[in-house]
Amino acid sequence: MASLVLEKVNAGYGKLQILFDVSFHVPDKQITVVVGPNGSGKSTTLKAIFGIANVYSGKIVFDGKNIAGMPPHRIAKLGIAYVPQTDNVFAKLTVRENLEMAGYGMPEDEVRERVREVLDMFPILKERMNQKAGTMSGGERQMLAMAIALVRRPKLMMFDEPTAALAPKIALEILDIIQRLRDEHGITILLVEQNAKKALEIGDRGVLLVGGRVAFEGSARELLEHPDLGRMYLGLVAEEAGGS
Amino acid sequence: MDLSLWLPYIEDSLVFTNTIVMLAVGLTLTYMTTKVPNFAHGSLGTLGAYMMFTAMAIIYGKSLAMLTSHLGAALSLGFLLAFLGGALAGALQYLLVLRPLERRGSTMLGLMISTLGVDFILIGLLNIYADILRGMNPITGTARDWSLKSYVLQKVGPLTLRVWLSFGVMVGALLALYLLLTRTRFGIAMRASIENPQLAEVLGVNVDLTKLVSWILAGGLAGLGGAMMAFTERMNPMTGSAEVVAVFAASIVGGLHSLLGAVVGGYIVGLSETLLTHWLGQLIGVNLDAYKRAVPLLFIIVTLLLAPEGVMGVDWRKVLQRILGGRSAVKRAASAER
Repeated sequence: MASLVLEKVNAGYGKLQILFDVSFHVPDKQITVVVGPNGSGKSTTLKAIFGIANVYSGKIVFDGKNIAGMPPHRIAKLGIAYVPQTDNVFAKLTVRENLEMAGYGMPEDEVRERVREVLDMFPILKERMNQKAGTMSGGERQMLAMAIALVRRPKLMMFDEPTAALAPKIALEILDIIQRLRDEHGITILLVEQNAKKALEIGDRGVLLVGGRVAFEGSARELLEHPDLGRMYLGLVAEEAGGS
Repeated sequence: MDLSLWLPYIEDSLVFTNTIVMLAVGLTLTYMTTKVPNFAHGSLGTLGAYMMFTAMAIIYGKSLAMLTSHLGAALSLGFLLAFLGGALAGALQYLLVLRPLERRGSTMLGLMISTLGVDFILIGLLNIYADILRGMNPITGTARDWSLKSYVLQKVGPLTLRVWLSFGVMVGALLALYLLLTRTRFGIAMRASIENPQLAEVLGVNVDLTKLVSWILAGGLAGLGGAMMAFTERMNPMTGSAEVVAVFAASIVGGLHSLLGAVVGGYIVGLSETLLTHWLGQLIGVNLDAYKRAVPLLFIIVTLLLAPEGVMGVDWRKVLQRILGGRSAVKRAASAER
C-alpha cells in the first residue's frame, strides 16, 4: 500500500505556480528520491505536501486521507515529519529545548522516553544538551534536525537536501542514517537531493522533476541507469547515467 | 546635595521608569512575535490606569475612609482589573484587526498604520468611559486629569508605598514571564515561534496561538504598567498615547529583539528622561523639565545611528577592549616620549 499519493497537484506561492499536475507514489517503508535540476520544484513539492506552499488543485492522500490544504501543525500530528533544508533547528534554543519542542503537544513522560530513544541514535547530541543549537557544526545541526523529526516516531519523513553544504564524509554519514531509518525503523522516506547519484543509490524509487512537471517516475535504479535523463538533467556523466 | 529634597524626584523617576519597562517589554514581545510596532500600546497602558482608577476611586472610593481602610484590597483589585483589561484589549486588537489583515497579506506598513487606528479607537473609548465615570467619583468628582499618587504616599521603610508597589509588581510580572518562557513547554514554543515560525509549525506548534498569547501578555503587562503610571502622572485618556514615544525609545535602545534589552532600555530612557534631565537642569541652573519629552527622541536617533541593534547587539567586550586598548596605547606613547 502506498503511504503517500500525489494526484495532479498544482501548487506554488501566491500567484506564482511552481508545480503542474504533479503525480507520483511514495510506497510504504521505501525511500523515494525526488531529483531534478535547480528550480524544478523539488522543495516546493515537499512544502506543498506539508501545507506550507499553496495547493491550488489536486489531491495529496496520506494513509487514505486527503491532506491537501491542511495546516502544517495538523499534518505533523498525522505522522509526517519534514526536515527543511535550512533553518531546521532553533538556533537560539538549547539542544534539550529543541528536542522538547519536537514533542510539543505530547505527554511529558512520552517525550522524555522518545528523546532518550533518539539520543541513543545520535549519541553526540547527548554531550551537547545544554549547548545552543546555533553554535553547533553543520553536520551536528543536521543530526539534531533529524532527531527533532524522529521524536514523534513519524510514519513518513521528508528530507529537503539534507547533505547540502556538508563535507562529503558527513554527507555520506547522513545518507547512511536515512537508509537505517528505513531498514531498522521501517520509516517511509521522501528524499529531495541535489546529490542525485548518491541519493538514488540508497533509494528504492526515483522521481525526476523538470520545470515543475514529473518527467520520470520509476525505480531508483532505472532512473540512475537511464541513458539520457541522468546526463540531461542530473549532471551525471555518461557512464554513471548509463550504469557502470 | 540634600537627599530629602531629591527623594520625591527619585521616587517619581523610579515609578515612571518601572512603568516604561513594563510597557517596553510588552511592546518588544509583540514586535518579536508579529513584527508590528504597536502604536496603540501606550493606550493599553491608559486602559490599565483607568482600571486602577475604577477599583480605587469608584468601587472602593465611596468615601476616603473606606478607601484607606481597604487600600490593600483596592490595589489588588486594581492591578487585577488592569491586567485583565489590558490583556483583553491586546487579544481583541490581534484577533479583530491584525490577524485578519495579516491573513490578507497586508504589509508591515499597513499593519503599523492599523495600530494607529486602534489607538484612536481606544482613546475614543477611554473618553466615553471617563464620561461615564465622571460624577461617580465622590473623592475628586472627575475622571480626567486625575492622579492616585496621594493615596500611595505612605512611608514603608525609607521609601513610599508606590515605589515598593511598582518594583513588586514589575519584578513579579517579569519573573513570571521569564519562568513562562524558559520553564514551560508553551513558553519554549513561544520562543521557538518567534525565532522560526515555519519550523515551529512543522513541529506541531500552533503559531497563531502563540501570537495571540503574546498579545494577551503584552496587553496585560501594559495594563499593569499603566496602573503604576497613575501613581506618578496625572492621567487622562491621552496620557498613554503621549508616553508611547518613551516606550518605543526603550524598546529601540534595547534592540527590539530582546526582552532583557527592553528592561535595560527602559531603565536608560526612563531614568534619563526624568532624573538625569532634572539633575542636569539643576547643574546648569536652567529648568530642563519642560524639554524632557525630547530625551526619548534623542535616544531613538542616537541608537539608530550608532547601534541599530540596540544595547544588546553591541559587543561590549570589544568596545571595552578598544577603549582600554586606546588608553594603554596613549600610555605607551607617553612612556616612549619620556
